[in-house]
Amino acid sequence: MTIDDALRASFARHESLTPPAEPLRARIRTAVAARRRRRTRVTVASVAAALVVALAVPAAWAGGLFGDKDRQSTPPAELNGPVNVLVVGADRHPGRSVAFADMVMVAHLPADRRSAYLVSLPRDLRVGDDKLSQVYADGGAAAVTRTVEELTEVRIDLTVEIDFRGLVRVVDALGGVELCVETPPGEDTLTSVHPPYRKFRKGCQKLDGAEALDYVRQRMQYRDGDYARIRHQQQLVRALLTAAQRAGLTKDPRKLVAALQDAIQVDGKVELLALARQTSGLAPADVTGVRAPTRLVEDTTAYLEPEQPAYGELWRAVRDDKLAAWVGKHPDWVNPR
Amino acid sequence: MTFDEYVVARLPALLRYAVMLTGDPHLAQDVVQETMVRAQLKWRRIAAVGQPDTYVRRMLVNQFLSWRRLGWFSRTVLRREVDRPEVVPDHAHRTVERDAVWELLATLPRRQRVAVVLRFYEGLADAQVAEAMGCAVGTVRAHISRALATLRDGLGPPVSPGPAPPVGQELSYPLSPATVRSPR
Repeated sequence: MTIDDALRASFARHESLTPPAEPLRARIRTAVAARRRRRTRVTVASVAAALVVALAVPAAWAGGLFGDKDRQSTPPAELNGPVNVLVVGADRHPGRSVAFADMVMVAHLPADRRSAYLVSLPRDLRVGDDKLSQVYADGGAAAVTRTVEELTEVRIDLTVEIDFRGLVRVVDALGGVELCVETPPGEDTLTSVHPPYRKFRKGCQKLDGAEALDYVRQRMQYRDGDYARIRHQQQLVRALLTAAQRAGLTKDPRKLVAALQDAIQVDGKVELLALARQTSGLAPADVTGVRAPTRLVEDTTAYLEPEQPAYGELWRAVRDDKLAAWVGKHPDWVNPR
Repeated sequence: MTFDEYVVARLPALLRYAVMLTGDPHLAQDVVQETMVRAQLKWRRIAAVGQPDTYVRRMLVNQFLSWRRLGWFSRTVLRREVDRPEVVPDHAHRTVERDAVWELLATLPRRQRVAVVLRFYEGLADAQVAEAMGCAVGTVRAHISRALATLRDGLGPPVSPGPAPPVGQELSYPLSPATVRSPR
């Protein structure tokens, strides 16, 4: 008998050691549920990086990603009309088990692809008896997609889920971002409420991944809290776009593409790369940040309610691909650059 | 294929495969559980690739190779327990214990064992083994040939394909403690 046969025979005999699968299935189910709960903590900031994928990955890199030049010469898949991308940020921070904020943003790309709109939904938006943040905690990105479609009657073509640590790597792969730090009124530094309690000085500066993410997570220090955070986050998207376009000329795109692949999960019928090719010409100035109009209601808990009629008109404008007109009419809900 | 469908269809096979990798049913459960939890969380991506088996097999290999509680030390302890005479509950276990090949497998470096299991248990070609282990085909061949050399050494004079061994014992290589410890 050869050694190969002896090995095979030994393996075959030891199959009897295999434990039953059923108890393990139950354990896997439980473990998955526990880990899901852990990853429900979501940071507004994380949302931004996914937008870089949709908006900023130049087509040449996308080609490089697959290592075939032919792909570029073939015409991209048919992709016409306006596209709505739902971006959900998730913070899978190790060692934290608290289910925290989550943040949801609809990136609207008009049919002409000459501009892009980021419409943020506040995490405290009321959904039935819950807040939007809770929907994510309970059901993940798929549940948020369904909820947003129901709330807004906007068709979501693509859902992009991105995790916090992934975004740090994305920013670092870009060599950092240029951000103009906003400090609380009357102060010239902002101190983070999260360890290591970084101090940010007021004004424009280069931030690395960890710093940028820390900055755009802050909200308590500002009078308008979550709105400030949304504003900073949308600024980060533009900063990422700037950095991506700058890096496109000088940096090794493979690192960025790898970071992006690690950081995001995509779900939907639209091919992200095809979309990226169409939008690769967008400049940061072509991106407009919008807050969904809401107002604060102090009940037993504080939550946000749609501010009508602006809220309804906003989503109608998204459906009809007429956001430019809505933005012109509602400057109050448009975030400063 | 949804994750649940995959688990129902493939969990028993994955467990068997993990038992061969680890040599220990409890550890096999732990390694498979950790692998499947991770697989579940990124299932959309795995399913999109279209060959979940290949992907999961590779995950399992990595999980096993990086399993911290599986040092030389713990493996020695495991073997000692198995050697104790009182652990002889039934025939299947007795056969298992007496299996010299199995004992020798436990002494192999982990990567060599992985290569051997993928090749001779999972029946993969060298190229597929290399893919699952994330290394070059040449490295796989080196692992396997070293592993086989160790096994041949440990089993003593080669049992040639000549005369058939006595019926009932053909698969068993009784191994004394002295054989295990003897320096080569």
